[in-house]
Amino acid sequence: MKKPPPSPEQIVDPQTATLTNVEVLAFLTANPPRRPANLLPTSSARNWVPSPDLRDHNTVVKEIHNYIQRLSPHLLGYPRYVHDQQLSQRQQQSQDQQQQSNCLPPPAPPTEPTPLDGALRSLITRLRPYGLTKGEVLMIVNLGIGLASHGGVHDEQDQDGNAVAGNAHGEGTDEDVDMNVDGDGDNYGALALLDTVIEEREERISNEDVMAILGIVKEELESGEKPR
Amino acid sequence: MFLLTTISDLVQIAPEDFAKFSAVAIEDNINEKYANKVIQETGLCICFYDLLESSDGLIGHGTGLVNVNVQFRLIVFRPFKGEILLGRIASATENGIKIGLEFFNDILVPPDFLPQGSRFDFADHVWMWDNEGSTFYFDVGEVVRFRVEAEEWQDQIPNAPDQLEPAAVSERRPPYSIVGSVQMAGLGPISWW
Repeated sequence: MKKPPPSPEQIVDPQTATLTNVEVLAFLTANPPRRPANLLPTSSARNWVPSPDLRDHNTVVKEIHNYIQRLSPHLLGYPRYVHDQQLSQRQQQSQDQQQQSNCLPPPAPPTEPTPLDGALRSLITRLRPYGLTKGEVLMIVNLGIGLASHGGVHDEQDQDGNAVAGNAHGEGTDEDVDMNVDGDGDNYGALALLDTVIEEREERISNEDVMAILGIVKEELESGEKPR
Repeated sequence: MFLLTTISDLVQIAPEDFAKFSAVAIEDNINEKYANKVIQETGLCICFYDLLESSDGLIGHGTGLVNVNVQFRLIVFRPFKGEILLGRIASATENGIKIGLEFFNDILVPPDFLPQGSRFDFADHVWMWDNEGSTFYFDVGEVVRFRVEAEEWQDQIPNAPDQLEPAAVSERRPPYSIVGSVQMAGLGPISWW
């Protein structure tokens, strides 16, 4: 089948809104790629292309899930971001729909906020007095600064209370180099990262306020569930 | 690192899709056209987010395609300058460290943006950082935090074959690439902090 001629699209607004990674995760979880009804090739199996061709859509969504699981697993431990009822209903409906001929209209998305929505709203409100920019709050939520499972791959090292310098290859005997300057081993990494995330941190936010910010982040984003 | 972009476009629905609900057919068309593709100066499109407006469907002459003018929002990947992201070291050369994010892999940290005192070990193909006597390694496979310093766009306009430069085709730059830095505090392998 010939492809239609390319139509010139217009970017009405290149940046209507910014989303945190966890919000994108919530959306992709609630709206997985659709499976087209006709999966069998008709005549020539070699050049068969599915219609609609959602291979790229499936690829990019799968890769984002991989990214979160392998590189940002702390997001999985954030407050619940799915509407549990709707999720199980959807799974049933999608199975039924494949057998029927799509006579049911697509289910309307649920409108009540999830626990994650509440947590993010509360976090932004509580951080407002400290004068952080939108980008800075976005980075704090994305990176999970100060959370117990921060940098999830190295959980054991965090729980020891010491930030271990170097890695398996390096000469790791000099563990005292540059460490524990603040005398607070647990939060050392988080404090260093905050100095980079927040521009001119020392001039804008005092040390007590930084500890308060870390406390607020911990309260709002730690739902008590371990990341799976 | 994700944002919503509002786009206005023409969607053509083929007759075999008339049985689908319009909203579903439009969403599928948009995902088919935009998913995993780069729009210059805008970013890497991920997927359809929601439909803002759609016109009545009009059938043009000559084909049975229904043309619908739609306005919709897409989720787009485009980190802002100064944003700090998590990635994994994919490879290293003397030109710098390549970092990958599963769904986007054209990120380079050039030697200028490595910590002071870094050097490349040609034997092991790995970058090392000498800091006051102890050595730290940027190992392949390490999860790192890096800062976005700049972005580069390269429009993939097909060029007519140029007889004078046959090598030009093989050195195509990616449509969207990011230059990163691991110089500041908290950046680099997360195991360091």
